[in-house]
Amino acid sequence: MEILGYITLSLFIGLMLLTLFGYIRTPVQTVLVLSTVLTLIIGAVFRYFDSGWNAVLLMPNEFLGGIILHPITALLTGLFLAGGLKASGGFEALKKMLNYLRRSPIGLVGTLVILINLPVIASLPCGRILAASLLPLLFTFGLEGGMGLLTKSQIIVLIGAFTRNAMGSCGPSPIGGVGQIGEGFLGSFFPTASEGILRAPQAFSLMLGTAVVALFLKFVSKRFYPDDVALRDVPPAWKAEGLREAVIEAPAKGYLALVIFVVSLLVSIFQPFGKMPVQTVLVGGALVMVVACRIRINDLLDGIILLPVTAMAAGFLAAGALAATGGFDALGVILNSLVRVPFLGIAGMLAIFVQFQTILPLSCSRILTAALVPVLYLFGPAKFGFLDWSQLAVVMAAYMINATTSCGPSPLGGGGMMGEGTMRAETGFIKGAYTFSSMAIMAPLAAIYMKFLNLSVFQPSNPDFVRDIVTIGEFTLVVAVANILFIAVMGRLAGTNASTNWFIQLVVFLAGGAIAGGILAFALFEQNFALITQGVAGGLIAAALIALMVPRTLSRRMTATLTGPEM
Amino acid sequence: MLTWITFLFVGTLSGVLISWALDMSSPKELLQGALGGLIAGFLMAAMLPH
Amino acid sequence: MDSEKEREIKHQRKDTEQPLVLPGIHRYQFFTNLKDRGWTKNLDRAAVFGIVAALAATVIKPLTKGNPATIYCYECRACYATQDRCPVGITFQAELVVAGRVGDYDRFIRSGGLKCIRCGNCQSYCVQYLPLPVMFAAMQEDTRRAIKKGIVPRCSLESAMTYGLVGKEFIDDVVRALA
Repeated sequence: MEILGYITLSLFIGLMLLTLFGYIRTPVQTVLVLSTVLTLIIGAVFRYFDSGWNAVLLMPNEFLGGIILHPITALLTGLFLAGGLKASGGFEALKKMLNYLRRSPIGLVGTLVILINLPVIASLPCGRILAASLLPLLFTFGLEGGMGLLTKSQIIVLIGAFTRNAMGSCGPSPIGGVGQIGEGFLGSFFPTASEGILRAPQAFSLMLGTAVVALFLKFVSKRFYPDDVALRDVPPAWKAEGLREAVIEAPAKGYLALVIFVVSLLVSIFQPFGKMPVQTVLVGGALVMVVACRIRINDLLDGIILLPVTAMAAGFLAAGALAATGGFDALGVILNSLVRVPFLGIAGMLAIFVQFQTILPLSCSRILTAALVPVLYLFGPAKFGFLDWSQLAVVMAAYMINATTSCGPSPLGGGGMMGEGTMRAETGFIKGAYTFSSMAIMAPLAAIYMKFLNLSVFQPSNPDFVRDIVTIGEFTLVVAVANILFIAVMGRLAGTNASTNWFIQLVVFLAGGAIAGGILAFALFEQNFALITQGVAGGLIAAALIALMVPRTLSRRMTATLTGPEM
Repeated sequence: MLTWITFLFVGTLSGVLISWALDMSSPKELLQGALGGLIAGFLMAAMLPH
Repeated sequence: MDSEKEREIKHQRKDTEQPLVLPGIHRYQFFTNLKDRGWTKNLDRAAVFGIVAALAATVIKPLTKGNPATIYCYECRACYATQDRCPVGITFQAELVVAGRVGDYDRFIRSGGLKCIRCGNCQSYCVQYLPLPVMFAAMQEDTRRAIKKGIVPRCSLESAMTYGLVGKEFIDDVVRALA
């Protein structure tokens, strides 16, 4: 039966690669369902001969277990509320309030910085909730959205950075976030781990990662894919006389809807009326909106868009079929066997392991996290003894931030597609920026933060806080400066040849990955040169795999469609 | 206390970088970005377990 | 200059012809251009139908099986923090919830569902304070019925016996099924 896992895993990865590289030109949902059906057929044949007909009949139950209802319903309720806000004029009210805020001392840019970081501050259990509600608002800052305050280039950065921040905010969420999977496991040694041992490292690295994404989009993505964002820029005539501001009128019920929206979010975060699902609170808020703001149920339903929902559900189905046929077990065995590769060893294997979800980004990080965190746990004292508890906590922090941000660059119904849709970019536009920040910034910084500060908080043992905080500051600056330099060089070298650009990107990814692998090994084993070298080797392999998946060009077909009827 | 300091630091850094990426790089705008980042870092740190 | 202007004009599109991605926002995406993929239209429809049917089944099954609370599980796995506070040593509580939602007997037995004594220690770790013991009890009874009907594969039961995953309440049923 073990061979079945390898077959289905190969089938899944093969189909995904063919889709990503454009050899299969159908919607991702169709490919994922196809993968599910093929996996189940192959699994059924194996099961019939191995365990009989009864085992085959139970397969549908098993693959349905792959569906995680929570992010699906969270997205639906987020869209529901966004529909309500739109219908009641809530977005207009928000625009007016933002207008006031940008005249305050923090100005427009300060307001935007807070908006971009809002998802990680709110820390909802699925980034899609806030993204669905606020992306339309960010869109309004541009020409087509009505406010005309920002240029096309600025809108791309704004939406891209916000979406990056949102698709990672499920990690530090204390109300059902993905990071709690890791915290649960660490609870067996750190008594207070479930109170949020992984939250601070994730939030810390996410804040800086968001900023690096903004830079990557500005300097690199726009130059690599110049024709792939279909937003309109400000007309030249407007530019000459400066940006014009549209006059915004907001009805009173818009302000009321906005208050209901904010109260709903606060209630779902702080749970003052006892524990209840975030979905219940949001739907409750939407219904209050119906009554108080006199909108129709249909207005709420108008907000729902099935494209991201079905893509995510299809991803769950494919993952469920893979789990039912032992595909994830095979993956665990493969990763475990990397320890025996001489130039990788444990440090190199872990450098690849922590980046794995960015290498294979799925529609929701929970799919792979649920399968791989138990494997990681077994690397610790619980079974294999490769790591002690503190080291396990460090790896867990790096792995978890990498995992929770993986729905961002996923072209298989990931949350990043919402951002791409909002900025009217072709799928894959943000992939380079998102994967680079997860790999080169967030994973090493989360490891360093956990090693030098968080462990001292959760397991006080002769801490030297001042030294530790200086170490964190030094590493943060070094990682940030090195990667910003890489991004600047990449942007400078970018030309019109897509292949050359892609090759430059590959080299930069390798450099970033090597540093990340080295830092992770240092955080784990301190100044052990051999192990740091192994970490660098692992980081290089992970970076190569990630960079190879970043598309060279995006939308020959779309560009052709847009530029003429000959398509 | 140290969690607050680290988050205020990273928030400010992030704010400056974002405002630069948004093509708002006059000293005043960078300062406003830093202020926005500082507020974001403060709010984030306030949400964390201490 | 003219060609540039012409190109700009051709880039203008009618938003209303494009699918919605978020309220008020339309988008372009190559796979959404249905005219380019006529032969796959029915395949796509079948796929979407399959997805919707699977989602419906995931919600309806726990309702019909008397285990509706499983729908509310975030699958955040905060319950894993129970660790050695679980008197029978169950490590993956969330697995039992998911197995209960979809009726996956093998997963339930493999994760130690049949040895759960419903003490409720894990419930205090649930971020939503879901009634985990009640959910596990419902699935235990459902599994017992399935074992009696002979639906559960023999190899699952054999493996459960080998690794001590069957509690004393269920041992008779499992032995009888294996006899």
